Amino acid sequence: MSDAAANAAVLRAQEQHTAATVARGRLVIDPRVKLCALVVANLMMFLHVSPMVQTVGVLIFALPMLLGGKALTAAHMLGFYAILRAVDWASVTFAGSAPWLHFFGASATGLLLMLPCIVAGMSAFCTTRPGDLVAALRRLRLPNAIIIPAIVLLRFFPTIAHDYRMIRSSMKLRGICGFWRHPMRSLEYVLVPLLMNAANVARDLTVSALTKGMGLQGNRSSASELRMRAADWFALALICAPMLLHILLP
Amino acid sequence: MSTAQTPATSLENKRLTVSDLITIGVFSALYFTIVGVCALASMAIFGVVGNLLLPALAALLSGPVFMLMVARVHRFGAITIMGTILALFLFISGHFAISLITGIVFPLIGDAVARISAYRNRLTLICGYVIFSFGCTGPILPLWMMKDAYIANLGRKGKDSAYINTLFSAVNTTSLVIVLIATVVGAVLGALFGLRLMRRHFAKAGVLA
Amino acid sequence: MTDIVCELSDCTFRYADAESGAALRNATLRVRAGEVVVLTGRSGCGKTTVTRMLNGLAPEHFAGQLDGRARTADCIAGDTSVNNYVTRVGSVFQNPKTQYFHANSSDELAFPCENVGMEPAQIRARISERLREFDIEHLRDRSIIQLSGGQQQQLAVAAATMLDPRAFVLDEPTGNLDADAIERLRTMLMQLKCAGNTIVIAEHRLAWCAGLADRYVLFDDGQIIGEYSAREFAALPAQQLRDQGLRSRDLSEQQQRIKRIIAQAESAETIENPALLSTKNLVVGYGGRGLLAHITHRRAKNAFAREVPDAELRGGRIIGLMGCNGAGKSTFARTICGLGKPLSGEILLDGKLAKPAKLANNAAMVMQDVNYQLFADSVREEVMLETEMRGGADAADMCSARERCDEILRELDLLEFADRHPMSLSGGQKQRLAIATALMARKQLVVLDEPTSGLDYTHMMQVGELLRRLADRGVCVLVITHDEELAAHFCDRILRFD
Repeated sequence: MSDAAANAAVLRAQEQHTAATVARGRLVIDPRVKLCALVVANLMMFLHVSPMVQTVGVLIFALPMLLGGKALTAAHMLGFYAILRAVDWASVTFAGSAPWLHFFGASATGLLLMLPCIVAGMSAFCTTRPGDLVAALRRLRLPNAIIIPAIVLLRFFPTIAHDYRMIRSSMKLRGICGFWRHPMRSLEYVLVPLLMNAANVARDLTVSALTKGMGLQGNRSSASELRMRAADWFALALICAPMLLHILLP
Repeated sequence: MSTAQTPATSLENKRLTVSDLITIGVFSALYFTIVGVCALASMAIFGVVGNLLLPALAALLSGPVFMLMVARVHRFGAITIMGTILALFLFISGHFAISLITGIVFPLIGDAVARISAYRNRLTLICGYVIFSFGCTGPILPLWMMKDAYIANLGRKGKDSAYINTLFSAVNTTSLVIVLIATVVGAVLGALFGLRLMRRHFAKAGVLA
Repeated sequence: MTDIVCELSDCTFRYADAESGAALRNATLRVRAGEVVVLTGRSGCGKTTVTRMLNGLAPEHFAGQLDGRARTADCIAGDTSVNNYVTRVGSVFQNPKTQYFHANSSDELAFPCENVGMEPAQIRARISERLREFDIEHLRDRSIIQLSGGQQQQLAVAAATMLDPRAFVLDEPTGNLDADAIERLRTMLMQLKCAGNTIVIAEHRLAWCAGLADRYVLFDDGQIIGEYSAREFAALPAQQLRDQGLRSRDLSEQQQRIKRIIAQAESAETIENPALLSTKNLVVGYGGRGLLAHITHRRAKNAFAREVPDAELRGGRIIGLMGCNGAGKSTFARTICGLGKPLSGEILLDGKLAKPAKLANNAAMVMQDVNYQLFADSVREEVMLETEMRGGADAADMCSARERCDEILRELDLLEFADRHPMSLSGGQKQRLAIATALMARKQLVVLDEPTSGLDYTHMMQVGELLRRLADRGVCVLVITHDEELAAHFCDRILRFD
């Protein structure tokens, strides 16, 4: 490709990236903003905020999922939240006559405390591409010793389910399935092939990664340039809103 | 005519190589899966309270993963990183930030303990694993905090404080002790199970680097 | 004069952990710029070792002693770190499943560029460029685990081109691929060749190399025993190549034979040899039947359904299942083995309607990756596993069971390994071990999933002989394969899935 054509391609790619906030009708938020949401959610938990602030928080944290193409997951989470609120209210109001409700109430309160975090976490996980997540971790200056295993974890994790199914199929055909009769042995039969396979994959991955420059020491770049755009700043402001409410309201 | 040999053996090299980091990543994925499965299982059976058993259950099942990774990497940092990565992903998936602290500190101490014998002596490996397993306790610490919140909630509605305290005080200290003991027991059993698998399978198959 | 990109001068390489002698002896090779050279020979002949020396992995990563000089562009094996080779050589390996580092295809393409610190915008531009050039735009931003093996290999080749290397080194890239995927890969490599790139391929499946390769280098036991131009190589007698363990250059004869086998009507032995398994109106598949799907009249994301023409599977036969990926061969095999419920229709075992549990009792499967099905810590233990698990047998029964076990091991040439750990065996030995467990359990149906992928001619024939011996014992052998040579030589019947 000639230089002029290459430069034109680069410019085109830059424009595409700037316009990539809304891609295929889905909202793409900078993963660092989602990590901030997690921090705020943690603060909310720490400070035992009131139920109303909690509700506002959960709704805001669910926005990336609702707008990011994972509306069903968001609906499930919000529905779950509504149920927990109902249980909590019921247990506190009626506990005088039915002390056993305290158990459910305590569970509900516990889950309610954790829900803003869980919703923020789900948002971060479901709507962020693994490459962007890793880029965000890099921008946070985490060392390579953490980032490389993190990338490998994200890559290897989906294959574990597939491996497990293969192993279970084999066990079924061999007739050595009885988990409840021989729990330790069943665990052994599942873990040993899983671990062997893991060791083999690690070996092949290393070879492949070395030929692609994994061992290079210099500065690494990141193809997904994380830049805070107007939508990201707005989202950041929105995320801090619950904290503001908590401070302003009695 | 020139002769070229492999560069200085990695036994002298204390730094984690690319190969080590990838191995750590792969085994961390397995560890993360086991912790996830244990979390789902304990919550399904006992509800939110079942989470108390999470560290113990995860410790019981993860022994082989830990032992094989240590055998293949046998350098300082592997155990720490495995715990840290779990803590990082726990945080990102929505657990309380204290998971980050417990998830880094305990594995670090466990790593240091196992390092005393250069990752070879069984006793230090078991001790290291027990300490490492406490890295999982991060997600359940909120349970004790939740108790305070619930009481505060009740107090807001004007219930009798003495009644509340008697109801919950037993839950507090007892559960803490139970969790501690269960985790230690689970970890010791898990470590023994892991070492047994090492001997019976991985050492025999020649997979230990 | 075109310069020499890859050069081996009197190279001898001995792996550090090798019990036997040198993997490569006194090899001298020159690859000129723009050439496509195929290194060929049976398994273990040294061609893989050459590729490792050309991309810097040996002796740095694959420990060993190298005598002689191996040069690629300006890098010398042993002196130059493999890190420096990254921008000079693009490598593609055999197993598509364990080659990719990232979970997402675009990240995987960006990976080499990120490691050398390329500008982000330039990386993205280059990704777009490559996807367009190779006509693989549909592979953009996909989860790699969901791609087929062929698509994964296409991605691997594209990733190898990202840093504009001076040479490409491919180690048996088609081992696990079907005909369509091989054709697509070949097209990509032709494109690279026409653009003037230098390519070195280690391969024993020769059919797809025709028209692509300029030169063939024949290895045997670590030494180069012949170098041929494409025309000279095409003129070599087929038997000579087979003796060297190489697959056929031209598969048209096998394809003809396969067509004849498919068209063959069922022979008239039905009375003495009733069908072991027969299917009626069978529809296999998975997914998409939940309550939600019914309400919304939408198929679930991964639903799949395939009608299967009524089939009869008889003991003593080798039946091939052939067809392109995704057509339902594996699903059919799994359903026949009782690992999945059919969507509709019936499966009859010995004439009686059979549920999945019964089918599972009757069937054994040898998977493509045998590591998923070996559980014990010794070969003998592995074969005795079900017997021991069942328990409740007295001493005499156990004794006779052990004798049977040793008999089976002896027949499959595994008795000398009886105390070794299954995972320490070679691939072929593990396959035989899996078959031994099936024999021990008196399974009447044995399904093998791609048993010859990546094998050279000699080993492929050995597997075929093994299948023949199995069938002669009365077992119904079902082979899922896209290996035309295996099917043409050994299959009695072939079911085509398209």
